[in-house]
Amino acid sequence: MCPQCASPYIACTFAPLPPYSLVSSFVSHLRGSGFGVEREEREVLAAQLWACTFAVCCRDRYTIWTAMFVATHNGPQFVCGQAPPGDGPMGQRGTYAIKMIPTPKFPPVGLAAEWGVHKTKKGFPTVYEPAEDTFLLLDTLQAERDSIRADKPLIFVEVGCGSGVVSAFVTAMLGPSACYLCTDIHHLAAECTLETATLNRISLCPVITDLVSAFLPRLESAIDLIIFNPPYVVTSSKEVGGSVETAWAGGKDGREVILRFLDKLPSLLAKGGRCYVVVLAQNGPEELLTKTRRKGLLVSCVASRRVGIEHLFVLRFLQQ
Amino acid sequence: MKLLTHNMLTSHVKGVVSGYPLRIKAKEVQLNAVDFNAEFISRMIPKLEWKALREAAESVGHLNDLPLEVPSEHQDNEEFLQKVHHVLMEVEVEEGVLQCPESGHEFPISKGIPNMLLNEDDV
Repeated sequence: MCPQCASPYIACTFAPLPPYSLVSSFVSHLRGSGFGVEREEREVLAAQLWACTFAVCCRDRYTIWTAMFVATHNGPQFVCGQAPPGDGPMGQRGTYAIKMIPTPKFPPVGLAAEWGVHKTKKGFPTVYEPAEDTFLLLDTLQAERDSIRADKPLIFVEVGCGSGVVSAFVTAMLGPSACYLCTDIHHLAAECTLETATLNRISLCPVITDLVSAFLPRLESAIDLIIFNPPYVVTSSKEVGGSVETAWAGGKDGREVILRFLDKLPSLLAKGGRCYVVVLAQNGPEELLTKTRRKGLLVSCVASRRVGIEHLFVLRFLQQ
Repeated sequence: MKLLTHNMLTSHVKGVVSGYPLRIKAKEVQLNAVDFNAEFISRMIPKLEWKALREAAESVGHLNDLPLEVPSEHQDNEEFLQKVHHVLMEVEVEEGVLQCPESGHEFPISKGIPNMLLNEDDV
């Protein structure tokens, strides 16, 4: 909640993120004002309200709080956001707040675990630390929440679950009325996912396997919702599947793993099932969509975000 | 590993035709309380391989009087749903192996997680 007014609401997103430099200066301003910002730019959401002003909001991963700022040409100006005046985002002044599903808790991963920041908690330094791509995926799922819920998915699979934060998020969205299966090729990621499940008091079912092979043919045409934040970084082919690089090494055009997955996808999804995949511009999202459209799936790009040098996209695939 | 998970796993050892269901050889089994959700259990039942579930439950010593067949109108049978819930969600194999029914290859279960990866020779 907002440290000023204790409102539990935070800013919504309707427009592209503000320039990275402005985000950084905003975060410095927050720190200078005494707010504890742990994950800075990665968890910054932005809403464009008006031609030259916009609100930027930070949320800390471990305690959910909000700080509402209006960034103007004079620099960030702190305002306290509550119920906004006016209705729509276009041409209306004010700040808009909608309740966001908070980022689920997860154990220390990546650098935080390596640096031993949390000495009392068990850490997983080799597990992928949720970053911009993860948060884009969470924001997209949040935006798609109503249509996902309307499908009433029963069997859910997250491929490459890493810390388990995305599966935990989906559990928060859909509740305990689905079967949450998680796969990862890395055994520590599977362990971390179980920890994340415990921290959030939910049930996740991790399995160590390559993509979804352990579930085939048993779950052929049976999965209602699949989510995959794949290793998408452009690397040499031989780095793909290496013990340290499995989380991010994507090989040629960063899409060797993505292509293998998309090849299987039509046979995985149940009728009416859907799938979300995060990709980079270098992976050639248009081409990926075309390839999959030819296999009979309804395809679209439902989100995009530039973060630093990365241009990320979330692709959605629907089985008719 | 919950028995729900086990119900979905198949062996992919090279040359194996029917790698399902895997035989559970448990070294350590735990019971964990999980909130009962009648709607979930009721919707899940038609997706389960019932015989495999029964065999798995029996092999870990928690058959819990599961009937040989799913009763008709199971969605209204609260007692039955509770039984299924317990077996499916609350029985966890912490340590053990999953054995391929055809090749005998053993996949380890460690810290409650099955490892279904194969070496290149087995694939």
